[in-house]
Amino acid sequence: MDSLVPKDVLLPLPAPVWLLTALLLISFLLHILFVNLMVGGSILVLWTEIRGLRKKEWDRVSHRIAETVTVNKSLAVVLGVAPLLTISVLYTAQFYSSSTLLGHAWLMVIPLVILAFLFAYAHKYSWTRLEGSKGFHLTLGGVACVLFLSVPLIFLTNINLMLYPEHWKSVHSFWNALWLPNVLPRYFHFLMATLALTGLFFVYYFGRKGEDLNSGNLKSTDVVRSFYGIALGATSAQVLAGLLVFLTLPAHVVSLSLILLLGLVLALVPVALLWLWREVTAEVPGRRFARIVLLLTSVVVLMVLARHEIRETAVAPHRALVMAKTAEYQRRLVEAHDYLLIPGGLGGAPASPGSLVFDRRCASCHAFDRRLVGPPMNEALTPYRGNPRDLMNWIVRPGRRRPEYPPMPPQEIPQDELQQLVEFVLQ
Amino acid sequence: MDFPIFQADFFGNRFLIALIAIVHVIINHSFAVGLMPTLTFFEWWAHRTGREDWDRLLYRILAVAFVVTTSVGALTGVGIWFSTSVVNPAAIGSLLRVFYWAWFSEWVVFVCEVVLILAYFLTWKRMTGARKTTHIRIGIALSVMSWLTMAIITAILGFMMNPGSWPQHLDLLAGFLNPAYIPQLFFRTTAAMAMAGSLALALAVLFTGRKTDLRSESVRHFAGWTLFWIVPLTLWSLVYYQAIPAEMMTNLPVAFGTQAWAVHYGLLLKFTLAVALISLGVNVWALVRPRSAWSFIWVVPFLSICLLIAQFERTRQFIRKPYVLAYYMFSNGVRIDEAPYLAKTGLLANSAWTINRTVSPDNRTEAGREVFLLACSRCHTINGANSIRTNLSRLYPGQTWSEEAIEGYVKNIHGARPYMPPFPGTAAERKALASYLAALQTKSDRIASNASIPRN
Amino acid sequence: MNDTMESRPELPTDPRWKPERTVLILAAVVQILLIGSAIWYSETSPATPIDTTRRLVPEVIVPEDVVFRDTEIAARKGREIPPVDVRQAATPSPEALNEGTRLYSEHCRLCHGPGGRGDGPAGTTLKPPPRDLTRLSGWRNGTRLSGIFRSLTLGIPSTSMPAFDYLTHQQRFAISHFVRSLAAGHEQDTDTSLASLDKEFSLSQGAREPSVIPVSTALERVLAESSGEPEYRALTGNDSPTASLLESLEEPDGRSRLNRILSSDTTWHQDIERFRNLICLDPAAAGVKPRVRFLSDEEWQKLHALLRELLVE
Repeated sequence: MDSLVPKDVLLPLPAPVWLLTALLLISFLLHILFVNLMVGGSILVLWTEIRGLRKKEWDRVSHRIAETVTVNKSLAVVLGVAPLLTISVLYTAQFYSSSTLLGHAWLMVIPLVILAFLFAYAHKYSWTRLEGSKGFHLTLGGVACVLFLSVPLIFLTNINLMLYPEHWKSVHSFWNALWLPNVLPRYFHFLMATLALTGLFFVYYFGRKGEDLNSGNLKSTDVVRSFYGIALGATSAQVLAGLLVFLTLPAHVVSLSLILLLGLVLALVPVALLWLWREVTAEVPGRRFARIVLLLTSVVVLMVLARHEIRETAVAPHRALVMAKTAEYQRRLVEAHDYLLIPGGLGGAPASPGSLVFDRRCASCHAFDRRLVGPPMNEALTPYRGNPRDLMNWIVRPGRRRPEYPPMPPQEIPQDELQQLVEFVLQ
Repeated sequence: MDFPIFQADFFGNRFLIALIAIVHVIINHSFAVGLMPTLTFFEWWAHRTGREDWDRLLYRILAVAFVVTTSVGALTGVGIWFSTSVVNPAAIGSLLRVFYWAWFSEWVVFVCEVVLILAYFLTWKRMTGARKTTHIRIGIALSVMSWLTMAIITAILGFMMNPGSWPQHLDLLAGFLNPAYIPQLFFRTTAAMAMAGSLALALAVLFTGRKTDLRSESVRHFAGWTLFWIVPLTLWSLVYYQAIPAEMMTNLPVAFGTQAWAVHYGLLLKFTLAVALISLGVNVWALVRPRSAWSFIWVVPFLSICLLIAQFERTRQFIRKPYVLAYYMFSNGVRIDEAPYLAKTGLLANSAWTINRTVSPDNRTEAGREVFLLACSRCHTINGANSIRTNLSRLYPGQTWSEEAIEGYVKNIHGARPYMPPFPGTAAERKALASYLAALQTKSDRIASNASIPRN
Repeated sequence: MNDTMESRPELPTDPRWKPERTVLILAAVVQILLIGSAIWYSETSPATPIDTTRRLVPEVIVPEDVVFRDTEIAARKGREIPPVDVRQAATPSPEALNEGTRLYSEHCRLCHGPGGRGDGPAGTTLKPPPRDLTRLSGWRNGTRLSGIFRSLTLGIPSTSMPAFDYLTHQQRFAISHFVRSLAAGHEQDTDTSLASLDKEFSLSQGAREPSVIPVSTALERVLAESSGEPEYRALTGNDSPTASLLESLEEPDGRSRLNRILSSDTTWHQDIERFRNLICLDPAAAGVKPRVRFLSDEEWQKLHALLRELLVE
């Protein structure tokens, strides 16, 4: 099993590669934004609800967060369709191979997400009803959160495995693939990005005019500050996470373009950290919000490009081999068609048309003098000697004469062929 | 051939896809495509007649639909891609290439649909009074978008059964406008409406008190809605039936009832008709006697129509066999145009993930096993659903399975059973397969889900 | 879920507004459209003809005995055919009869039946049916031993009787003896008839049957010979690191395979990508180790240059 170079699907790509790539990257960017908000929301809803056990006003914040999760999760799922479609077309040989290798684990994404959604709904819609039993309510949210956290891990494992065809032979299960470099560092990276992004989202959400959180002991500025804090903490951790991801990347996927992109990111992140710090320590946080978002959006775009760069570098040799093998195969198919057959075999008498029908339709089950699946012809035909009409009827609608044989399936044979067949067998 | 083999050896690969797909169709048709126009229509009518109790009922029905469609509905849709890409990557990979733009535009419409259903549901309570008209317009837009997604997907489904002139011309439009498209689309639209009516009927029972006016009204209205759509549904079913390629009709008895029940095809048809008539009867009963003592009876139309749709989907998928993409690719992923080449040069040699590339006297059983995985395992399991051992026992009851007999059978299997693809390998590979299968009589085998990687 | 008694609200309904009428009109329009379109569609759509010639599964599988073009014959090794003493062979003997019985059972029984009555199972479908060897009239080549031998050697044209020329002369004589034992009254050979048999089939001289190869193989060889299969210049003495790289990559007997691959297509001389693909496509076929796939671009450049140097005349 040395050659793990499959052939590609023998149909042309539906659009030029650059267009498909652009569609992939843009739709993936939108998808991952909402995935981050969905996962981050499910984490932060728990965090704020737990805070709300001490300070009632946080419970209200929590409930508001739960409301956003409903919208964000539906958008996350629907926006995922386009990148899944496009990656399946652009990287068919690699992506489908890794998906199939992961098998059950990959399929588990579906029930896990369904359950996550249902638990998230339960958590949101039972809020007032379960006010008295916060423990149970938190459990609902906790289950949803765990489920939401598990799915990106499966995705990452698959996306990672597709990049390294040299590891395919050794992947017996999801667990093997999970420990390949560099799934876990990427997952940690993803988690920090989720928290950072969601933190900023809630800075916006709770910082809007009209948010009536100024009641009670909780000012909206405090809420905003808390979320800025999360964003700051997560982005700081990202420096470590990013470093870890880079260090654990297999050497052969690191290209010059990648280094340049990451260099740019490294230049921008400290600025973002500085601004975030200023916001957290400000009297009235929010002044620098727009530029922080702009900066971090640029960072995200650069990261999407970096991911793509890694993927292309890793997959390029395998892709070239697949293309070559496919072209070779196509050529051989065309050649083989030129040699296609002269029916009739090696001389001798041309077979009668009835015998051809017999060969095609009957011979697999009926032999002349022995039992195969059905009774031998020398026996079975006896009642029909001189009765071609009855035989034709039987063939088309067999009854069940012999219990020791399996039932004969009705044969749909057109009239003229049936005639020839019956003529042939009865002489 | 070109991808690792995933095998669900208990439920069978087909069941894996079928379960996800049928759940998706039921939800998609009953809870989305059919229900949104239903709810919008009744919302409009309730608004025009000033019936706030109706409005509240409709909102509750929508709440159920919202939860179900955004969770199970959406995910089973994607789940069809997940399961087909794992079970038959060659087929879905081909479909994606041909219909990429169709799926892409369907995605755009789907995004609009999701945004609209979020709006429709989340703003219902707030958009009252003068803003109600706007809300109803959102409902109309949502209904249109829902229907459009189905309209696009139906083209792809119809193509799998009857691609028209596509295999010769490789023309996307010819594939899109295949002969089964319009009939299937109208069939599904009317079916979705009828299903939605039955669903609304069942849910209305949940949300209304037994002796109330609202109960009897809602029962009558929803049953009436269902009955309204059943007439064109019946007509379009007949038109759809005629669009099925004639040679696929031979598969109908087995498609409908599986091999075990194919002899009772007539009986099964009568049973299906009976279910349909019972469902119809209950709907008529709802019009006449909405205050029936037994509330549970109002669930019958929905359950029976779900059963009928499930049976329809199974039949539709089966009669297409031996093809997964009609007249282009067989169910085992082998294309028609490469089958002769493989028969001469070998299935094993032309596959990427095989360990044995040729058949020799000392590797016959192992090579036969790999041939089984490549050529047969998409539909057959060893010990589970559609088990090859059961099929062999049925062919040769009480006998020892002989290699020669099995080989002879496999050689012409596509003649004996028109829904079987021809064997796509060399004679040696066929013999190896026969030797593996014959050995299964006494020694069962277990196929892991990741069947391509040998266990050390 | 709240399912208390719902009562009619006290909202006044607009007396001018009759939603029922709108609904009725809408319903009628929709029904007419749906039913009408169904009828119109089934009338105007091209009726899918019940095409009885179209099989669900086309005959895509090449039957085993089919040959590709006339010129493609199976390869067969040449052999020496020892001379035969015709007189001796034509004399019946117990050994000949035993062997003949055995051979008949193996080659003839299926069509001609165990008793030679032409009732063998494989023969039931043939037209004309296999000869009943117990009835002696109408034999194409006559009932003499020489005639039977002739039928066995040449077959009977426009019937299903094949030519058993792959059996040795001795074997065919043995079968002929057996056939003659199935009945009484066969004609006898004369010296003249035996002599003409000998002449026809060069029996007492022996012969050499040449080997036979398919035409395509022959063409391949001719092309290879005419273009001159390039040989490697000796690598010995070449101590460059690239040469040792190449040696380390080659499988023990892979040189000729690599040679073959590289001479099958000469575009690789200019095109390094092609060179790379040719080898990486199937390293085993190219006689190199699989790890060749992970060479760096630089290593590929060097290999390309080296092999060009070695192989291009």
